[in-house]
Amino acid sequence: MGIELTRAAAAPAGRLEELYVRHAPDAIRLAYFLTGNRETARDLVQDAFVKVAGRLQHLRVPDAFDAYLRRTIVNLFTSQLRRMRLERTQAARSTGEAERAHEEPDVAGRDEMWRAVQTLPARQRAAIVLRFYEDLSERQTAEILRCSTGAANQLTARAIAALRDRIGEDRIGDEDR
Amino acid sequence: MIDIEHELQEMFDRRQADVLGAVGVPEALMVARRVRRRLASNGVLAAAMAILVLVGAGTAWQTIASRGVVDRPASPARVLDIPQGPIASLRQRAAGLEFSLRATGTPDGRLCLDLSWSEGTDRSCLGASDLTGTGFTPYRSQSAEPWFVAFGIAPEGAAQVAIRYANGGSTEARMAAAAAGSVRFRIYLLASPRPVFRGLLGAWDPSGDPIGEPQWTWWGSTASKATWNEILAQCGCGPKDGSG
Repeated sequence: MGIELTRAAAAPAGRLEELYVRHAPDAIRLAYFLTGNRETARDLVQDAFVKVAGRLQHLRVPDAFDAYLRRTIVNLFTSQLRRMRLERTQAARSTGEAERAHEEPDVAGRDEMWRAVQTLPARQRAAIVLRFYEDLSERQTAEILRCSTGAANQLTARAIAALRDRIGEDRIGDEDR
Repeated sequence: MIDIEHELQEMFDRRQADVLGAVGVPEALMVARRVRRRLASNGVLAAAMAILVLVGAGTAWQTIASRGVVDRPASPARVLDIPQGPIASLRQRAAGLEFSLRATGTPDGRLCLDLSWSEGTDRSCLGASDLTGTGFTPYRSQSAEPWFVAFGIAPEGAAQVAIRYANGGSTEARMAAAAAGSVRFRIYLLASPRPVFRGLLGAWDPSGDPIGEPQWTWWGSTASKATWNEILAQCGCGPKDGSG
């Protein structure tokens, strides 16, 4: 894999494309669970891939391309969330309802857990996705989030508590109805 | 009790199918193109940085190599030899304290400055070679007093002496040397934060007689506030440690 990546870094025609085709699907799924939007996820992955592949020759462990990509996706997500929200708000203002109709049709109503996860703050959401979707260890999660294991655990615990509250409220509300 | 962790995993499993994440060839081509562009711009950036570093290093080297020459004329005055015996002396009373400076040529061709005032004495010596050129030669006082003395050729070709007290006070004296071979000093006290030393001490010829009228010579625009480093910066000598 390391040799393959080194070759890709030398950028002969086709190598980078192959690298992208191989790594993008998993990365897009991760980004989708972080952003909650397919198009945003794809954009995020492309940006992350360009960033990581652009430094391919300088990676300390070229074999860990997956890990670098994952970390970059999470970093871009947490750092760009504010900007993306702003852009989305502006886009929604300018295009009105047409934009809303283009969003995920199933996000709004079908899955309460999915909806609840989308309401979590960026880092809490990232912690949840890394722990329960990517199935990473506490230490790996902390490394990606660039914090201590304790802090990562705290993020996860807070996220779970918030989800429990949110889901609990929804279910009580449903029963009342 | 809701098993959130279990429900989360179920949700992720369920939704994975919604996002196949399949990647088309056009998308891969486009992303690869972006990467190549980035790699190319990295190369350009690295080259630009390398050029900047080279230019910076060259400029720094030129500055270092020609230190003391840039922005000022080369010194026309070179003190070739220092006559043996008394060269100049001056005495000044200020604020009730007496301050005297004596310049003497030693048998081995060195110039010694004996400075005495009501608080103590100090002797600093150096050879004629230290008084030539355009550099500003730092010289540490040989006495136990915390002094620091620097000799050099001033921008306009005068030999100069700057004396600093490491204990916070400072006296900058300037010695204007005349033509080569005839050591003739005019000694100015330029600035001192200590009132006792503020003022012109006088200008004297080798015989010890005053030369003309005393003059104020300011080394900086606000000489009374000029610091050692400001003075050194003006002569292009760079800051020097005068402590101890």
